[in-house]
Amino acid sequence: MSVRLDGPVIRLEGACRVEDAEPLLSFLQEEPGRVVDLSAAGGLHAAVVQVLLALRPPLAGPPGDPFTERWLAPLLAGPPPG
Amino acid sequence: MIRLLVVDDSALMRRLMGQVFRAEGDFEIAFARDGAEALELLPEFRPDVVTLDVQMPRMNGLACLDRIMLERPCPVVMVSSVTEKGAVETLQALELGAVDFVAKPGGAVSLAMDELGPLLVEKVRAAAGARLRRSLRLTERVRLRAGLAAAEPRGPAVPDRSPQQPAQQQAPQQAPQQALPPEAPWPPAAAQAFGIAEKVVLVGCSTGGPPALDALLAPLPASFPWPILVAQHMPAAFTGPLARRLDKLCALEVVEVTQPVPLRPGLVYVGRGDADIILGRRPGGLVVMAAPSLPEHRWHPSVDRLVESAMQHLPPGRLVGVLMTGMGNDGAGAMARLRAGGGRTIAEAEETAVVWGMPGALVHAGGAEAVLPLDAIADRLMGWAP
Amino acid sequence: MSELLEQFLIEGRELAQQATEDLLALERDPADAARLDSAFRAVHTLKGSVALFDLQPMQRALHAAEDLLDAVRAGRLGVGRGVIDALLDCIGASEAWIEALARTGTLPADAPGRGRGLEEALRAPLQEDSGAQPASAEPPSDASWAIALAAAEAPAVAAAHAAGQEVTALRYVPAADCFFLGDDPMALLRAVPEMIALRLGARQPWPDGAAMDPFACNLVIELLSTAGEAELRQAFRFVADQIATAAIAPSAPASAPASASEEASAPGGAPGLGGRSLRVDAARIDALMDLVGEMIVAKNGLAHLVAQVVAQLGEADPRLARALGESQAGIEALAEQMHRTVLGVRMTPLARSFNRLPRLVRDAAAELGKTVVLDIRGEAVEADKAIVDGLFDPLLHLLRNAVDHGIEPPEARAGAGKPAAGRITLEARREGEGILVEVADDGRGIDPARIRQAAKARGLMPEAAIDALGDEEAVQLVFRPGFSTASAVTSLSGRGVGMDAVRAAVEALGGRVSLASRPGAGSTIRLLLPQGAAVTTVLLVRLGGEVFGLPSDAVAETARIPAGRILPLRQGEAFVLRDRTVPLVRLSALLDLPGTPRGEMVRMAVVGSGAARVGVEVDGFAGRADVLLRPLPGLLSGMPGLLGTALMGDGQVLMVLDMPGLIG
Repeated sequence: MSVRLDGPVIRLEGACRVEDAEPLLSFLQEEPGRVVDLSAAGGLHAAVVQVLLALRPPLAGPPGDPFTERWLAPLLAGPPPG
Repeated sequence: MIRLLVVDDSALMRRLMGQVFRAEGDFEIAFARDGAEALELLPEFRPDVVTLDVQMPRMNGLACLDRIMLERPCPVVMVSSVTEKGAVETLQALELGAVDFVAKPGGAVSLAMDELGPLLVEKVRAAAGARLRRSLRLTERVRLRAGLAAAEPRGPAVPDRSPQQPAQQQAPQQAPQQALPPEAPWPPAAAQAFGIAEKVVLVGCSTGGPPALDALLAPLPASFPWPILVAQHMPAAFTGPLARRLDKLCALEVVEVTQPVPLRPGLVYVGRGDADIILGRRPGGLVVMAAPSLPEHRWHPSVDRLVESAMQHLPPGRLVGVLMTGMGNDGAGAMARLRAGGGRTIAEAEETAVVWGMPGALVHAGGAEAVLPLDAIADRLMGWAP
Repeated sequence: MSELLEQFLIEGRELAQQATEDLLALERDPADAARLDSAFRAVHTLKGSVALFDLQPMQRALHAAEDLLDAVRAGRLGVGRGVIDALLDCIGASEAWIEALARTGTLPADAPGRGRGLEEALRAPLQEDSGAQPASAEPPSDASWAIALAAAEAPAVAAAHAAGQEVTALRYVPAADCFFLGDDPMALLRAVPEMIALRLGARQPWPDGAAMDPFACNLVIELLSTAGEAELRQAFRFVADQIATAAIAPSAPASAPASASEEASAPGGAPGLGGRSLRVDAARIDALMDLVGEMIVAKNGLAHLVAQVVAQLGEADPRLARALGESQAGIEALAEQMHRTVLGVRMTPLARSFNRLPRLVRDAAAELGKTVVLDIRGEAVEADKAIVDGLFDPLLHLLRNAVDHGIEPPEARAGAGKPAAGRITLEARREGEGILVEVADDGRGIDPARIRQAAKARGLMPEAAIDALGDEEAVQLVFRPGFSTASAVTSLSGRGVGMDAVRAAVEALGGRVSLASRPGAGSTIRLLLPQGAAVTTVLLVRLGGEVFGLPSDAVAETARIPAGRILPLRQGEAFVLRDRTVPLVRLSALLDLPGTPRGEMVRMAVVGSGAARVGVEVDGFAGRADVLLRPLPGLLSGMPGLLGTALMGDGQVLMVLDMPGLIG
């Protein structure tokens, strides 16, 4: 499974496809404050990025994927742009 | 050799379809430019299956279909345009006795003929072997047309709607002949563990599905206690009209699922075409939503995916699977697992199924608790419900 | 050029022409439903054909046109000037594109832009009307977003400019349902060349988590790149309608905003050499016939109503009553005249069928090394189009037969003292109510003995019966199915089953065929045909929401009697008609339909005759109609009670009931 609940942490593993957005949303909804770990994640589908952007969960670990690290992490971590 | 009659007013479409089917090697093909020509050809050519453009000049597809069903009934596959009107007319055509339909290329997702071709061939082959749904009695034909003309508004919840039932529920008048397996008692453990006897019904169908859904859903009262999720293989433009049509016929409320909606009794959720229908969990409860199609499933909305998704969020003992007419085997695997896990399943019987692909696969996998003719399924569900 | 494309071009030109005519007519008369329908079908068919080639701009424009016409048909939109203009523009562009395809095999370079412009113009009336959100949010028409983006990413921009690179801004707003179409905007972003900045926003405020639909795309993507506008657009070419670009000039805010490059529709060039192939649409004449038939019924209904009104109004307002009566009389006269004229339109000279025959006969004769002269007379005689058309095949067959089997080879003819050239006469003339068509040849004639022999060999009848036939009767055996005297199948006469096929074809037209022959002198085949297509008069009755037809011949009379006069009789009901008791049945019961409650008056059709009369109760009458009845094939006994079907003027299928079969 690309989206896995490991205790209080939601781990994204490997390439995350469009359908992974739903379990991610569901887990985040269930327990606000859960941390999302991107260190083992590959490319993220836009639907997954969208969930992260909308809910702004705390992120753990430097993202494993270069594109995610360079372009998405700054956008997902900081305060929403004006 | 399968004798195919292609009826289309576009010379180009006729030519293209001719190419597609000639390439198959086992089709003998004749062409008609309009409904009148088609009727002329019927007695001499004696087709095994007919493809019929829904919109044609002079005698449109529906009138031609009506006459075919009166004069020389045979399996018909409608070739439909992807507009609202085209979708409504297509559903009417299925009521009039057409076996299946294919959406013409065009629209938001434009299919090239090499994509459409294989699907067309598959549907035509299935149709050529299909069972024509109802007997040919004049009275049934008349009642069918009368039922089509009257769009019955959904009145107050009335448990017994028998006087007004449209003809499509009058399959052979005799009682089901099958020797039925003895009914298994409710798994008491599951009921106790969750305290509420609440279940969810999952329905899957394909070729010949829409009229089967009429027959299944219309007798259910508004007080039917379990929500019903329907995965009917269909293109996107048709599921909206299908849901609206069913809504008018049923005491239950019928909606097409295009965005997340809470799961609750009293509703029938029809999966959006060309997409899948799944369950999701939210803090407030379960929701039903449309999800983009996954390539690992061949047909959409995928019955297998619906059932798997349901089993992720609910124990099998709280699920009821109903697999009705359709080609292929979508849903058979997942519903067999459902049954093995303690859930209840019903497969439509061969004698009423237009194509016994999906339900047949379920039966052969040993996954069908009950095998019932179409008009007995609603009764069985009501019998199982508290 | 592929055959398919050629076909498409022919058909496309015609459809565009058709649509143009329909739209212009619609503009003059917005209430013309038939034109609206025709325009829709033309656009729909054209769109369908275009979809089979990869012509995106044309297809999208036509799809928008189809949706617009659909909305008009559904009554959601009126046929205003703007609507017609937009549609005509689209058709005009389609014509231009078809010609471009014909010349070069591809669409012109400006097609995508032009297509987008057309699409927007076509969708605009729909959106105003329904207020629906367009699937792809349109980029703002000004470049303020680019300015804001450049400002927010000033350091990156400055660095790029310092390095001598140009900077392009791009804004991408994916359609809300793009995930369902298989799109992944992130995948596109990963492929953007030389990206130097990226920002993500929301098109609409993010809903709170529980309400969020993870599969509805709400993203707004803005980025900067040093790759150059053309290259950047290339990366996004599949979603070209969802992006906007702007160049970021050094040290100055965004220069000329370039919104999704929209060009005003260039005036369409002349449609080009567009050849026009003309298909004679016989279906129109038939539709006209049906409509006129319906109009006669309606006119009759009107006459009845007017008579009632005049009777009531006559004293209160005699002028109005008279005016009404005169107007109705005028309509009546016009309707009758139109009926006659349309019937006349269908009448066609037989020449239509005869014209091609001389050449075919000459060719056939040449192939066999014979000389044949074909003499045609009476080709100006007229008959209904269906009969004229239906005669061609049987006549061709008869003529070929004559050339092949009738006329002897030149040597044989010489030996018999006949002119070298065989002579075949094809003559048509009026005979009584019908038409007589004769095919006569001066060939060898038919030898009754040979016919008898062949019939015996094929076991067509018991031998004794065959012997008992007179010579003339024996010759008629050639019309039997399974008969053929051809000892070899020739390419001309096919399988040689000819005469049976001829007989069937002629009888299908409502005619009869006979054969006379003198051995050694020649044969004459006579076809006796009706002038007009066979038509059945039906009485239209209402039941529930349906209308059924009862053959007029089967209905003795119609009656309305007060409900109080219906009496119970044994298991059913009866009434008294002119001192006879007549049983009464309900048509609804015969058809197993729920019956509607009886009103004060009971309407019925009395079928049968004498003592066997039965009254059949119906909900009402809807006049009479002359219809072309399609009988059910006799083998289809699965439908007792149904005599056949007919197509009404409004496209509905009428069931014509077999009363004796229903009543039993």
